[in-house]
Amino acid sequence: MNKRKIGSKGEQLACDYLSVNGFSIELRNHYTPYGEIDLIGFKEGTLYFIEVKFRRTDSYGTARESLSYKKKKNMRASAIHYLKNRTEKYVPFKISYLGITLTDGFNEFDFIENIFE
Amino acid sequence: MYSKVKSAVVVGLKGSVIEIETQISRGMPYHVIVGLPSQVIRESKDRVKSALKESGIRFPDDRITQNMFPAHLKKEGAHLDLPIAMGIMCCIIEPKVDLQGIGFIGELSLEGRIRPVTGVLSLVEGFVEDGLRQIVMPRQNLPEVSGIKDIEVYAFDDLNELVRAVEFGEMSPSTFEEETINHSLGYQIDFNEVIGQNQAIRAIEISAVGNHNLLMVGPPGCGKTMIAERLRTILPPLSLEKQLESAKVYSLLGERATANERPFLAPHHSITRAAMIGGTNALIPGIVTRAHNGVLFLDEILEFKNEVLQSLREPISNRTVLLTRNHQSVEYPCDFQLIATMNPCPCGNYMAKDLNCSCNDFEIKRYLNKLSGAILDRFDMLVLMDRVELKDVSEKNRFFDSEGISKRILKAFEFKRKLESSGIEIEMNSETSSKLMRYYNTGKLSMRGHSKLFEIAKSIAILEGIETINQKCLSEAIAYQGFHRLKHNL
Repeated sequence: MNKRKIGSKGEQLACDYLSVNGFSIELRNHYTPYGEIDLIGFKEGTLYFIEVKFRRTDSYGTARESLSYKKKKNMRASAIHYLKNRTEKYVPFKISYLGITLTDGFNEFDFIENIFE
Repeated sequence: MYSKVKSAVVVGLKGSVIEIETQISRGMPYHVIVGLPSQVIRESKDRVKSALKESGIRFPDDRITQNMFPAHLKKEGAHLDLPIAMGIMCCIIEPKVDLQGIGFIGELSLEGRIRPVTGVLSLVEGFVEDGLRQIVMPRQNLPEVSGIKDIEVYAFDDLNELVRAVEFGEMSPSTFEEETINHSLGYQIDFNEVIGQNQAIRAIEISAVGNHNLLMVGPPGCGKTMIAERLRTILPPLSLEKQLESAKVYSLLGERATANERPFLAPHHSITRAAMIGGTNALIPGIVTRAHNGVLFLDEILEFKNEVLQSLREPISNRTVLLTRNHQSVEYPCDFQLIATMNPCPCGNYMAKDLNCSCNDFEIKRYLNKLSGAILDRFDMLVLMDRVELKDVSEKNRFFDSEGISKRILKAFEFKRKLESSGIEIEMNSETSSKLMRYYNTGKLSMRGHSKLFEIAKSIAILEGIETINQKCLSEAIAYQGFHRLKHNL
């Protein structure tokens, strides 16, 4: 399995998890000049730009730690880029993070609604 | 998740208790410390993180906000590592001990060891004033606080050990190992090595009894420095209370004070004002504060920078020094005895018995004027010394040795204490006081000089073991006066 496949497996897990939790997935792997938005979801009138991190082990740092300052900045820029090209009327949005860590054969989900808080 | 732990910071020599609040909430990893932390404390974030990880504790991947209260006090010092770490830990675990009754101090190493810190005595005193009796501190600092009563100290080496003790409520107070203080101060030097100069030795003995400032003037090589250096062999040991005062100063500097020995400081004449008085941005105590309860010896006082000497004016008369920098001021004690030496003229032989002085009057005057009248007035006693005629090189001083002098001084101190406890004031008899009045009216004394002359006469009386100052005491005291004698031929 190459890295790409691991990533898309993680994203599939994320989609399943989010759907169960009442999100409707609008878009997957949306590319902007500032980088990729893994998932764009919608729930209760709010748009969620979600970065998915999948980790099979904590040995190289935790999933949360892997989100650098630069990545956060790019995520914000990507989200704004997406919103500018969106024709519908304005909706509140959040930039979120979903970490998935494989521990003892189980997937542990760690969802943070707003990474800038 | 919320927790509150207590620690302290040092302001000047005083400890002041602070509270560290910690709040951990879900969010991206983020650690912020607010409440006027200094650079050292911002660095301690990384030490704490590493120390916790190395101790086998999972560092929370959440949003950690820590606040130090009161916010106006500048938080300085690496000893806040441990309370910061404990604040985070107590959010995660459920402590079984009452955190509000415990003060934490300690620095952490990256591997989770608890390192010794400076200023422990002041910190502990701050805790005690605030009513905190239980203190967690590094094991290596334990001997320093052995003199303080009514506290329970928990000494730890290792963060993991401490966390487990707090988690399970199994803290047991550490016991002090009775330190073997070396009471016999084995000096290599002794007053019996000084040949002649008996009047100077007598003067230094009197000065040691009353803590008088003494200036020794004489040609080069006559033994001024030798005598001054031997002063430390006869100084009485410090009382327990004063030991603690000195220990606080040294603990702030990260040094251990040497048991009950009085400090004796002889700075080189190239010393700067900040080093002498204290200062820099960190308000570090200077040499005068280190010499608190001891002796400050200025060899060749005229070679010292004028600004350094002038800055000694207030410390000498006030016995404290108030330093102010960057919106904060601290007061340090500096109750020292000043001993200084100088030559009477540039060539050094002026007024010597059988040596010829090659200086002219103007040169001597200019030389002596380096020492301003204000500084001179702060010397209670002045001894003029001269060359000693040598009869036998191997000769030892027959009248003085350190052991004998220190016995006399100890006796004098006991006598003084006895007088104080029974409320007896040493007084002058009427003849003597009229003699003092006459001497004052010659215009050779300032008002300060007058009261100091009285003090010297008192010290002589104490040394003699008598309760009234008689004419003999006063005459001897007057003999130690008079810089004017140096100048009167010019």
